[in-house]
Amino acid sequence: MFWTLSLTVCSQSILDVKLDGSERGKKLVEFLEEFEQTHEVRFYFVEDWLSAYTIEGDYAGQSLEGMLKDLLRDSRITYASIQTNGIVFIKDPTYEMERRNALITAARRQSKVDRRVIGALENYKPGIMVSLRGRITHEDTKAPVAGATIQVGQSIGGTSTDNSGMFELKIPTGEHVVTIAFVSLKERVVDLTVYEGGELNLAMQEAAVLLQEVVVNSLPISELTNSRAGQLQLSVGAMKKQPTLMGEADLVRQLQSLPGVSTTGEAASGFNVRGGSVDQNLVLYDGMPVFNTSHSLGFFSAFYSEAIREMTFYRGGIPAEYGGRASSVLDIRSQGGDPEKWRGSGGIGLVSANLMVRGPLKKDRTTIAASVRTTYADWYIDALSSNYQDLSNSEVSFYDAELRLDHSFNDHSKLTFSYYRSNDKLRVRGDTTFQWSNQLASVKLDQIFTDRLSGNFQLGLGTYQYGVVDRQPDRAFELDYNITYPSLKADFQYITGNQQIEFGLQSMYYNFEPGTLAPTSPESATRAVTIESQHAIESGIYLSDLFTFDNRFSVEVGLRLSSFVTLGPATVNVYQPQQPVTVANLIDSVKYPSGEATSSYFGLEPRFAIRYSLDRESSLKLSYHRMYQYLHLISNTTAITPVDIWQPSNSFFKPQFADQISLGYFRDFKEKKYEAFIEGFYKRMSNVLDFKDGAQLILNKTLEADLLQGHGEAYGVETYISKNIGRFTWALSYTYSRSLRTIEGTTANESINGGATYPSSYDQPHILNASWNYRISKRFSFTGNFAYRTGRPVTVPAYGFLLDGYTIAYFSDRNEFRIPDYHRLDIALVLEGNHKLVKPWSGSWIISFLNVYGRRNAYSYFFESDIPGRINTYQLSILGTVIPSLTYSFKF
Amino acid sequence: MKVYAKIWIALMLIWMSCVDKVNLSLPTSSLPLIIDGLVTDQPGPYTVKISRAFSVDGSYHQIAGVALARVEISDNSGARDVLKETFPGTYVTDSLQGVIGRTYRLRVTTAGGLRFESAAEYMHPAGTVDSIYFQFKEGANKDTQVAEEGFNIYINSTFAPGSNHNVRWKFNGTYKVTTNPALVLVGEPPAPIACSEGCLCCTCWVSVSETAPILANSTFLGSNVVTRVLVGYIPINQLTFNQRYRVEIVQMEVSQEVFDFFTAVKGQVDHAASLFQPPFFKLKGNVKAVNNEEPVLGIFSAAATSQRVIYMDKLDIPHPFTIGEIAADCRAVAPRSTIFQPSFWQ
Repeated sequence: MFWTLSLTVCSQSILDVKLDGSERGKKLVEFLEEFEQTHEVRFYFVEDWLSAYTIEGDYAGQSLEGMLKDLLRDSRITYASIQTNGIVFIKDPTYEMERRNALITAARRQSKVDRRVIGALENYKPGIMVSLRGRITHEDTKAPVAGATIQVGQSIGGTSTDNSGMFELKIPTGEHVVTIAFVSLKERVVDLTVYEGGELNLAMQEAAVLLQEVVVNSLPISELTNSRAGQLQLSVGAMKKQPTLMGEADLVRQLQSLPGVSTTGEAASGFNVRGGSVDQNLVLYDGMPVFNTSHSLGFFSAFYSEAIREMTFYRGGIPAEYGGRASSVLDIRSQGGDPEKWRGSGGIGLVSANLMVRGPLKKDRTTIAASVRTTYADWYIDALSSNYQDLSNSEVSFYDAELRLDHSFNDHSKLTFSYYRSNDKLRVRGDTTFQWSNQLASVKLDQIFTDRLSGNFQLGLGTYQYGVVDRQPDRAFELDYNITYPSLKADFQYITGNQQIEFGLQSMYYNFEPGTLAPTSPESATRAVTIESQHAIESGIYLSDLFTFDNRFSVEVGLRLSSFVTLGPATVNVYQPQQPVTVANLIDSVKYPSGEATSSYFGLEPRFAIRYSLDRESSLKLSYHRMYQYLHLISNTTAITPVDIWQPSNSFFKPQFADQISLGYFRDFKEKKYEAFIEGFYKRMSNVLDFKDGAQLILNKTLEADLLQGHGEAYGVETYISKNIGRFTWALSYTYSRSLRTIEGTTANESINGGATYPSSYDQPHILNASWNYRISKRFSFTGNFAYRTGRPVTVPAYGFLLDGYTIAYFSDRNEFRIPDYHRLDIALVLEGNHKLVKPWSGSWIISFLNVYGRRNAYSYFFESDIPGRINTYQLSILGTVIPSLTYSFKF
Repeated sequence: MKVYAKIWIALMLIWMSCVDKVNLSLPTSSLPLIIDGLVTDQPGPYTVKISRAFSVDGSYHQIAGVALARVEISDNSGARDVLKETFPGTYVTDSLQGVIGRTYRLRVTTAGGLRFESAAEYMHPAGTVDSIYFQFKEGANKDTQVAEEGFNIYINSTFAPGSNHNVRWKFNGTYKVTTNPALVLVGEPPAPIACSEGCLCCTCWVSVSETAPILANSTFLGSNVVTRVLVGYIPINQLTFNQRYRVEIVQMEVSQEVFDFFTAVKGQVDHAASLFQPPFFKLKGNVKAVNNEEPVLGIFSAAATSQRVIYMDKLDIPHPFTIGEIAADCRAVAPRSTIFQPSFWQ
């Protein structure tokens, strides 16, 4: 450093020489040679480095140094003075070495490296910043890949694709290595030479049956450092290889092993995100909300893994595009058809079988993908040799079916029809049949208007329905519940320079038919009850802008304005003013005519997500969101049941909203061989619903008198480390978090635990998850996962007493005690077919063992008094022993 | 949603779930005082029982009465009755008889000077049980799932005039069992005769109550008449229809607090074994400590009552039903029975 400075001082006079303007328009090399002729100076340089530079500006009156600095700005070429009259031009070798190393690494990872040149050499202006934009698509389906990360070099910068698969970023002209990654697809590496701004369009290949997936992409999440704050892109392929219950790959269950996600147990539907309740997760299937995400009361996910192309999970800094739930978003996109040839896949497990076919109806234009999964658990029940508990008269069945049609009008517009249906039926001992189903249908037009503007327009219709039928003559009844929700969406993406602007509007109409109970036999003692239908419109407009500064710093700022209006016809109960809302205080009711607003709410939802790359291997991510939720799942049970009620916000139930801020440090090591992060969050939830002691929720005409609203808070620290490359890949995460509620009303009856803060039913402070994939040979791998979490809070009998002939339990404060800690080990052996790229049939076997050491994890406690003066407490364990299963999956 | 319990029994078997008895070993604090009292418009005496709660440890606890307390019931007209202790913890009135339209209050002072007092309970008219009828039913025993026959018992009822009724019914079943303990099979040595003094113990009366409170709220009924209310179930077997079965249904109207308490008790009984159990909660009684912080849980009701009785026998069974001889002491085959004929038995 001292040497350089002293040289600079000595040669100060040469660099200070004022230019006369005659150099304008000359090539730099030409000018330097002329300058040598007229001045006492000698320039040392490699001609190739400087040959592309032309002096275009007017530097008359400026110094030589000023001109050189300006001309070589943003290039990797610098200069230094040597001796008294020598100037040497130096090119920083760091970037060249980085580039070389990146190519070597790509080769080592067996990633395909393409050579691309953008622009014409004659237009090459070295060192200037140009715009690189393009579109990333799936090679098979031609569908856009949303959320793929584009990394230029290791330090130049990066971005991610928008919903149309488009991206744009500013890079200097020259040579770069560009890496495009997306969790379920094969990484693409491009050895890129950029002479001028232009397009880079790439197709990415499925990694499903290729060796690389086992090596590189065997963990559910990756690309942590460069991804958007709060976003986790999930690998569907990796999830399929994890141990399964009864051979059913369960993507929602896999989600529960991610940092910040928890569950209350094996038989619980859905999942809890950062201390939020299950209904606070927005689960979208091709853009349409799904109300029930599980089969068989939570044992299986309602989504067939083969029918899913990608899953994106947001648990913080949720983009403004999403709204309507307070905690998280799980965006599931279905698998489209193959435009070139017919493909198929399927699987046979112990309780279910599935099949998917997809192919072209018209080559490169129209494709179809259809799948179905159905259970045959009934044979299992029928095969029970004893008729203990009359079980052979039971029925446990479910199916789901998916259909998707894509039609490309041209390269710029595509129409997609998507249909999804899930259905469950459960009958126990011949008396009562439960049935529930979700149906979603949507038509979406993807339109690219210009190379900067694209849009998606979607028209959808969803229904969620359940029914209970009892055939026992003395109580025979039918209970029906329906939600119908047509929707309309228009989303736009505009890319310009270093900005990705997204805006749009969404609207959904809800028709809730909360319940009709009707007797179905003359001798039935059941009384007919009908609860009035409810109608509402939920709308949202949003705008967000993702700026990328300096290729190290990206800021996404968004704003969403949501509204919720409930409409007549409706009857609204009126209670004594200034008195608690109780049945005793019900004084009147008001009828609203059809179409008249009975209540309306607006919510302003700011969002932001910042990513700052500290260096090429680490980044800081800060995010904040406010999310409004206008629908409340009313449940007074620990687990979601199919007969729970969705209640729209109205004059009694204010919308809930959550504010969450999170800050994380993300880092990868050794060319992403290892990835790690630590992230803290704080979330405050307002107007969360809880129920009064002893609330009756089903067919309750005064539901507002049985529910309370309060606030909740959650905070925690999530840590994660994974090894992504090699024969043995693994991930380990530990989360410390709390989830608390406070319901404090004006009277004791309107408060829970006397208004004191208490842990929510899913407050599990310590959660540890480990998963691994050990590749024994090219075709065999050994996978597994281990989960530990603190037992969830429960309310238990504190003591018993006898009163009026009943033996009665007196309970502790709500959630005062906890069930024992939960831990479970699952393992699986995966045998894959050969890894030839082209083969007519590929089969794989998965042998799983769940709950390997047979731990009886408590799901809940219940109690029973067998004789007056004695209360026994029992613990229910859902998986009481080790559960083996075998699945055969195939592709053709 | 008792049906959930059934579902989960099925799913437990299918998915290899299991149930284990556990001892929670909860920290034991002082066990609260339990007070249970009822005043009706029928002639007394009325009983107030004072006891202690017991810990939930899976073991049997003999319920200990709290003796030597001063127990007093008064009404808003100035009538007052200090109860006598007839058995440790059991206190009975002397001459008090409830009157519809009056308000009653219970006051308890323990031997240690701790004072407790109930809310003022207004005695509402009870309405009437208009009829009791039954329907033969074939099905499976709810606990063992063994095929079983029985009768569902229904009532039609009229509530008192006015609105917002909180009605509670009591099901008091009594049946008579006659056995022959001395009977032996030919060729077998005679068994020791358990009771031979005129074979008193060959005839027993067995009492049965409802397993969970039977309740109705009139808020949405639209009329004060309810029909076909299922109030009980009587299994048909060699004991229940050995002689006759007496069904007594008592109807009473209770205060909101008392109604809420028994609704909660019903919730406990109905949901205890359900996986989808609602989180349980603390019961709230209507008795409070006055000069102390001692935990107390008490229910004191003032309710006019209306009752109706029917008798049933084996001729009501829609097919021939043969009663065999029972060669055993009736007290042994019918636990919690008495050999003393109840005064109401006809």
